[in-house]
Amino acid sequence: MAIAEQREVAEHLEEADSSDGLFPDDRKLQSYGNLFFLLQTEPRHIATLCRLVSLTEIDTLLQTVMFTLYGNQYESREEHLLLTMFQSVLSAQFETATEFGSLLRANTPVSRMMTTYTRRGPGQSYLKTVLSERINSLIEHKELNLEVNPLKVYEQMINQIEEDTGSLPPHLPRGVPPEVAAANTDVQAIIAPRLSMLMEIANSFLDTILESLDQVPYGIRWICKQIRSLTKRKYPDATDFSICSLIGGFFFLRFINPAIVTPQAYMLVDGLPSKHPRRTLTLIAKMLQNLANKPSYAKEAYMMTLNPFVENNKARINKFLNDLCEVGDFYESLEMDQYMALSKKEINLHITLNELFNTHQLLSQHRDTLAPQEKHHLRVCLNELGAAPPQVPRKENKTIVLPLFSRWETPIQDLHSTFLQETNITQADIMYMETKSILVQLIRSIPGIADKRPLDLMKIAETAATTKDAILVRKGIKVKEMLIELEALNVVDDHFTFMTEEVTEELRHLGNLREKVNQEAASLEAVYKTIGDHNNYLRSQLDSYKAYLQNVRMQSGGGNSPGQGPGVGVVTVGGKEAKKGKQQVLGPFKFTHHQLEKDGVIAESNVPENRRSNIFFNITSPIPGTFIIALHYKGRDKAILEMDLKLDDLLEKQQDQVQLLDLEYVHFNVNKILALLTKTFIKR
Amino acid sequence: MREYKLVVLGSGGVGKSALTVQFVQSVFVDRYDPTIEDSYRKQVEVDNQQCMLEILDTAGTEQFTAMRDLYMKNGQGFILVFSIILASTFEELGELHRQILRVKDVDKVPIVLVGNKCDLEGDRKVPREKGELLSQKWGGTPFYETSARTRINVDEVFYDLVRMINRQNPIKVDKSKGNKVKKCAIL
Repeated sequence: MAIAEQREVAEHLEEADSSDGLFPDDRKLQSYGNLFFLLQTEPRHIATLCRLVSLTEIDTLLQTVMFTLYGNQYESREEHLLLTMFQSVLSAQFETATEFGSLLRANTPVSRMMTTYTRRGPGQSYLKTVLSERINSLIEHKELNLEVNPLKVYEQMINQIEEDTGSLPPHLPRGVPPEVAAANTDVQAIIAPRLSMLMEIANSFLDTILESLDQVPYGIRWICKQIRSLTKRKYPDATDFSICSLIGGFFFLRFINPAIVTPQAYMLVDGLPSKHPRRTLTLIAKMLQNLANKPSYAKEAYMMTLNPFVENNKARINKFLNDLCEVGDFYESLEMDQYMALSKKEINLHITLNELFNTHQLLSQHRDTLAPQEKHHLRVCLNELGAAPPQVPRKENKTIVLPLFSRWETPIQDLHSTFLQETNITQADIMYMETKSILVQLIRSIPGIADKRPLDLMKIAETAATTKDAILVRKGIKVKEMLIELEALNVVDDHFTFMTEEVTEELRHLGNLREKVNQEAASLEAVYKTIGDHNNYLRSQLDSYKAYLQNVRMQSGGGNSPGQGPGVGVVTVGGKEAKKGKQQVLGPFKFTHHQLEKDGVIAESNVPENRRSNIFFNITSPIPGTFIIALHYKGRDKAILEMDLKLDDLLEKQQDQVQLLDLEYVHFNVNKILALLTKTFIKR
Repeated sequence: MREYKLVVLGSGGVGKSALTVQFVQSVFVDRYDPTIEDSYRKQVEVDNQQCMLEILDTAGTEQFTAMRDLYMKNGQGFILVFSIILASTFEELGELHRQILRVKDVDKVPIVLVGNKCDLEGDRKVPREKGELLSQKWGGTPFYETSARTRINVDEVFYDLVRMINRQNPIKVDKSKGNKVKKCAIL
């Protein structure tokens, strides 16, 4: 195992050598590690960058961000950091939208982020669970034609007639207008059963989706929640219906429907479905789309015939879209996660050279917007790195392991600075969120403070400000000021109606948190016990191996010594050496400095030239496998330095290709000292 | 009567549906209703010839890009639409154009470049010259600035595309007429 690893390392080293110049050296790698730590822990940089780059550049950037920088798709810290980045880009989008109607419609950085986000593991496995079975059973029926567009049905009908009879009757001309096709009674007869069948299938899809509420990935629900919250604040007059259509615009238009229309692109089916099922899937997606977004029917007239589906399900879908938004925030747990991450030994990124260089290049390009001040951490990193290297050819685009670490002392920031933008765009939004989060904290820290409903936010702030706890007082005062400022900025109304609602919601979500924590604690304890048991088992294994090793050493090392035949000196399991009395001390053997230097055992010596002749070494082996090297100065009784050496340690050093053994005054060559010890103790 | 398969492509919210519906039904759809895939049919007379246009109005929402290949394979002529009030919609057309040429695997495909929403002159972000430059870069393909709202240049876009298809494929069409659609040979 160890040798295999070693070989692998060696291969890597060779690879790196062969592409020198392309491969960043250690110093550069450290700077990159610094830079990417900043990017990962302070999502605002990427958030700003996403708004600065062009739509052609953003795909590569998002790929790096979602699958590499926050690539651990099932880890809450990375997920939450990614979502905070979303939050910030999303608010900016609301800020710059000119009218409600154009909100979240065009292809923008946000929509790109949404696409890429839904492609992360949890989103994809959700689509698979929810849609896969329905779609697959539908596409099995290759010949099932459910076309309901009268023009198409008419055309298929007369083509069939022509094929069967060889000619067309005069009352059925080609190229009729839609009204004529729709009025044809034969066409109507074909369409009628198809309509009810389509609606039945669409209903079954809808049922499955609506039932899946609890399986919808947290991040996707949280984005829905943000859309609702931002809309309610920016457009207080927006109807519940139009808010639902915005949420539906994300959930159905950008997440569910693409997977229904092109399931092959989401690996829900193998290969392209055949013509008829493909059309059926498109029709179902169109129906769901009409349901989520009030249909105009000004477009294709025949879609009107499917309107009963929309009418019958309107109430259900609106409830579902609102329920989607009912998830708690994660700000508190994020802070915790960040600290946990710091306590982790190492955070590594597996990143390709081109991802590294491309991100570097984009950051450099927008350096002045991202980090205008010279002492800005991001800027310091970028200055150190210099110009970004060009992209490397595909075959040289290797994946490297980049250790992330922070050079600066306080990498964890409060919510405020995690979000804070250099530009002022979303200041108010951030303050709003922070206020909300502090209020929730206060309510949870002071029992009974929120018993009265509706909540009086100002009063809660005041109560906190007059408690005896200094932290609560500080928070109370701060939040009070923030409430006043938000009011002045017109972000909230006089009575904080909307914020009160949101805080109440948050508390409701947190309500069963205690229960969850207890459950989690119980399961963690179980895990701890299992780990403990396993640990004990491993320890006992280790002891057995130690004993075995010791046994081997005594047999082979002392095999020739008188009185110690093979098979004796067995040590019992458990590490207790039972037969110490039989052990024989070997040595001391004396070596002069001069001799060892000549043999190359001493690789470096700090002893002054004129004193070297007075230095000698005594090497003793009290038990097999252990050596004591003592450095003596002629004329003195006591050794200047004594060092315990274990054969295992020396062999390990040799294995790890460590060349030198430090004895303070001299450095031994590991290979040579090993040879010497073998020669001296084993052969005698 | 000859049939023409036209495909309208472009970014989300540029007005592909508005343009198509204005052309086919002479109505302006002013409510935004994202399209997944709509198809229309309209009979027109171009250069004294009756033509049946089958127009496929596609999804601009980027999540549906997986459908594009099929549209491109089946379409004979393409209308590439951007919005003159949103620069990114203009920039996205380059990739679409490349994809069409790749799928069709020929040097020249009948394409019309369209800058929609020209009634919103005050919000203009893409200067006319940029559109003209791009149309030159694409080998002198026609370029129109249109308004689906006020019906400016709407017919011209579709008619011009039909003419381009005629120019590109005059003989092949006659053949297919003779072979496939016997009934139409009367024309």
